[in-house]
Amino acid sequence: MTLSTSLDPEAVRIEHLSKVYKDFWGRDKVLALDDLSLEIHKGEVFGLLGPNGSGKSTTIKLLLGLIFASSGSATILGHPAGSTAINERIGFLPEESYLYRFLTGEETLYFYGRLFKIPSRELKKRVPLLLDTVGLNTKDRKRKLREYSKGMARRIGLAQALINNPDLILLDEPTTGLDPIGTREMKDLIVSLKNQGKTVLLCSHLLADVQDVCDRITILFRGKMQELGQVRDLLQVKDITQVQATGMSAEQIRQMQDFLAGMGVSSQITHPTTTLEDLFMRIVRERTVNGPGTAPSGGNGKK
Amino acid sequence: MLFSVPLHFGASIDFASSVAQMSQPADRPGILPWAVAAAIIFVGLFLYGGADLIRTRWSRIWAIAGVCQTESLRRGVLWVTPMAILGVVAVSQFQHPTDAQDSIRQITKFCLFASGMLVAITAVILACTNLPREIENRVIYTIVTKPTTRLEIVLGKVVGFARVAGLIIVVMGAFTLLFLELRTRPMIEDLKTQIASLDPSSPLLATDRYYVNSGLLGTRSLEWSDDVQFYSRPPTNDPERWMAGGIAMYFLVPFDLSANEKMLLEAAVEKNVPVELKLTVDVDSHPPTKQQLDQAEQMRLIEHPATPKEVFGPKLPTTAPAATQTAKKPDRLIPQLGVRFLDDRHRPVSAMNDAGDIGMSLNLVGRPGQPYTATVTVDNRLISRLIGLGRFIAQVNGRTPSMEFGVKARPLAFTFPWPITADGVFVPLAEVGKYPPGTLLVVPPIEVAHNPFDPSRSASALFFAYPSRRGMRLTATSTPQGGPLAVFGFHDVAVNPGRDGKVGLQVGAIIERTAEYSDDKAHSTGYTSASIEVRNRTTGETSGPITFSPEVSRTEPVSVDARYFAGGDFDVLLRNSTANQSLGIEAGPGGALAVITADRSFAFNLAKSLFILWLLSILVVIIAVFCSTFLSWPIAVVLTLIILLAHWGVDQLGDALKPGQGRSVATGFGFRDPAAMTAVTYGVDNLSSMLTKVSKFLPDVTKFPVTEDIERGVSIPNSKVQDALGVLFCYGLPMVVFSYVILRRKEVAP
Repeated sequence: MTLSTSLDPEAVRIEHLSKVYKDFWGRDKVLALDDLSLEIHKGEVFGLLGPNGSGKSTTIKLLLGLIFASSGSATILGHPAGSTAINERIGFLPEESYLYRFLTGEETLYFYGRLFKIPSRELKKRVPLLLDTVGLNTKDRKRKLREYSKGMARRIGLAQALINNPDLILLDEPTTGLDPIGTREMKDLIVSLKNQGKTVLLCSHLLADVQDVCDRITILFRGKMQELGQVRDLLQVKDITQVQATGMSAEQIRQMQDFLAGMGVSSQITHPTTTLEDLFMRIVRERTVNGPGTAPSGGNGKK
Repeated sequence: MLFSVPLHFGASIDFASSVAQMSQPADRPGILPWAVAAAIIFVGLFLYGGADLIRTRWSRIWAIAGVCQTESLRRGVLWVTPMAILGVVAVSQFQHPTDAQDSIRQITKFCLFASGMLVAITAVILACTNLPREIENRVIYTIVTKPTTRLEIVLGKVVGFARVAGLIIVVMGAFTLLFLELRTRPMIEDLKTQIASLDPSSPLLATDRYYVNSGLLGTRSLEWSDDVQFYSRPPTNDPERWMAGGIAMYFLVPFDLSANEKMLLEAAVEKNVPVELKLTVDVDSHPPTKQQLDQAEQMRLIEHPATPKEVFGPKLPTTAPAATQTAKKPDRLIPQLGVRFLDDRHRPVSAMNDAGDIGMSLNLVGRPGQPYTATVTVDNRLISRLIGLGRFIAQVNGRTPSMEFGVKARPLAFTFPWPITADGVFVPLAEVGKYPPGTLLVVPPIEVAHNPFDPSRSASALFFAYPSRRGMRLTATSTPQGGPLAVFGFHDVAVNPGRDGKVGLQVGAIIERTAEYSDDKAHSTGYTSASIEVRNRTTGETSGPITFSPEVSRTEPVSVDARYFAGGDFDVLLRNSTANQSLGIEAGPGGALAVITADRSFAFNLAKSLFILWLLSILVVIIAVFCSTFLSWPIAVVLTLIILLAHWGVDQLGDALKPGQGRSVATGFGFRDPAAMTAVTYGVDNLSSMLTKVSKFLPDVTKFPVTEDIERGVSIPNSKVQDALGVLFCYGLPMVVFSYVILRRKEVAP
């Protein structure tokens, strides 16, 4: 069943959403989410940030209907959150790969594909394509999931989330368990999904990952929203100005400092550093090009 | 005390109850469970879950079922089947069969029992653990976030584990068939060797030949008779039936008072008008034996002419003739019948009244060749109780030895000796003369108009014998007309004769020793002897007696020429000809005698049996899935077993507290006070009734008779498969709906 595209410009609209966990006797136990209101625009990558227990996963569970709201409401692509019908257009990668460990990678995708009533002929095309996309080689896709490493499990988990070519993808801690290469591939994939016009809701406490791919973020703490906005706006330090120049000599640098001091501006001129991730990626890339490769695709050793 | 053998009445209750229960609507599965099931399905599925129902797709259910099956198989569930097979092979080495047929049936039972246990345990464990585990390890996250309704999840689990159960059943069924074939072949060879070495007069010969010819895996379609009655002489086209006195036979006459009859009786009680019970029977006296004379003397049933006054009977209103003779006459046996009333559950009514009596003795008056009658005035308190019941039964037993009592339709009636005026006022007999001739009306008697318990019965009186250890007791032939005999009435039975032009009968009665040793010929051979005769009611042709030797623990085949079965309406007369031994005769399915109507394939019968087992396993899965939607798996296992076995358990408890047992409980606890006794009696009976009602709302696993028929070599009737399907749908579907509702309202994220 294909749902008609909603006229609502927001992919997700959350209004005063609260969740209180209760104990056996029905008494309030934990306020996990407190009056959260936000919108996620179509085609953007939105990040939910916060420390453990801040309400990130609770928000995602509420949006998916895994738990029920104590108050407030949420809509996804114009339909009430948790409705079975809207699940046709959603892909979900849980924080760990909660999959049937006795199935092989291929069987897993075929199974989830059948839940979407994707025709067998179409599945036969789509499954190998997805497995290629997430980087699982031919040998690995025939192995049972219980034999997968954590990284491989994340990749097959991502593949199942994309099996229905969703409009909205909810990724809960997508880079957990991935090595730097996997992490970079995951981030590249997220960007690629964004470029395809899909909306991505990302939930993570790995701030660098979020910073790299998200358009907007919100920061949750103790169930309450603390910040919401564009990443670059939030990270911008207004009272510091950065000037980037290439090929300056030591003398020119000294003259620049003198000039700024003459203006009464204190300055510090240094050479910028690359990120550790960039360094790692560069080294691995060089070794792969120059010598015989030994690293298994997507695997990090655990069998 | 009016009855010298009161225990006979009490002892007769057990069987009489079973006869009544066969025809009581209250014991049939009523429409109420179906109505409740339909209401649950309508509200849960159509009102609450209508949207999900519309979205439900078989492909998703099948996909979820496939995963359940794959999981079970990859976890090695099928590895339990070789273990079960080894168990069956081992156990079958330790059996002690009575003969080859019994051996095969025991093995069949072992195989099916092992299959049943295996499937049931596997289904309970798999289905109870699956959902809680998926919730606990959060695999459910990736299922419910797909366009999968909770209904599809529940149905997927049920179908998946039903598929697993089906696989186990197929494996076990294939093994059963193969194992039985392998075991049968050498047994048949052994039987052939045995036949060659047997004495031609051996009663085993016929049975062994039958086994060799029909095969040990032979399966038959049987037709049983519910209509089993005991007479003292063979029935004829004349509607009169005969009962012998002094040999524990009795007949029942059911009454069902109409509103007018109740009003009439109430008016009589209110005005203290006598209501009489009138009994009309034919009497045929035979010369008594010495033993019968002693028995009659002991029961004070001999009239000694030299004695001028009453020497017999109680001081109750009686029609016994006054001793007025002056000349010496020979001793005379008094024809006497005992009467008491039972309620429609066969509990004694007379024992419950305030008068505390347990029945009435009626001495018959009449002349040879004419009907004998007896009239007794019934106590008003007893009448009041009968009015309250509306439906009740008169139980009449023949007391005088050496006499036979012929009963036609309507042998018993309540009569009103006082006439009434046109205004309905009773007029005492002494005042009848005050009224002009023609102004008074005679009140018509209250008779049995029809049989309220089983309208299919033609006679208004039903003839029975006293109970045996199992069923009713058929004692050895002792009446001049060749009785007593048990008559099995068959109606519209289509039989398929064998190639030899004969129709088989199957007799399975238990044998009991009844008295001291006798050196009669039959007994001296060491074998019990009985005979069967088939009488075609349409043509009147009778086959003549065919003698056979019934044995304990196995059925005996008897073949009779097919022409006596032509038309399908026939009686089978069974006589016991071994003195000092009695045969226990049960009626209905599984009873003492059946007609073999056709031979069937064992493999097909096994398939039916396994299909019923599969239906049971589906019910088990449904209940287990239901329990696992809201409980942790260990508790779910326990609750599943409770739900599955509760009906059976309540039935067992109900048997212990069956109607009529209240009085036994009261007596057992030593209550003497009538009020306390009544309270305990009715309290226990009402508790039994309540438990029986509760049990009707729980699934009845006894409706899945996996081994019952096949182990007896009987073709499983389609009605039993339908019954099993009925229970599955009636209880299974509402359970599925409950599971769906609970799961939909459940937060699956822990």
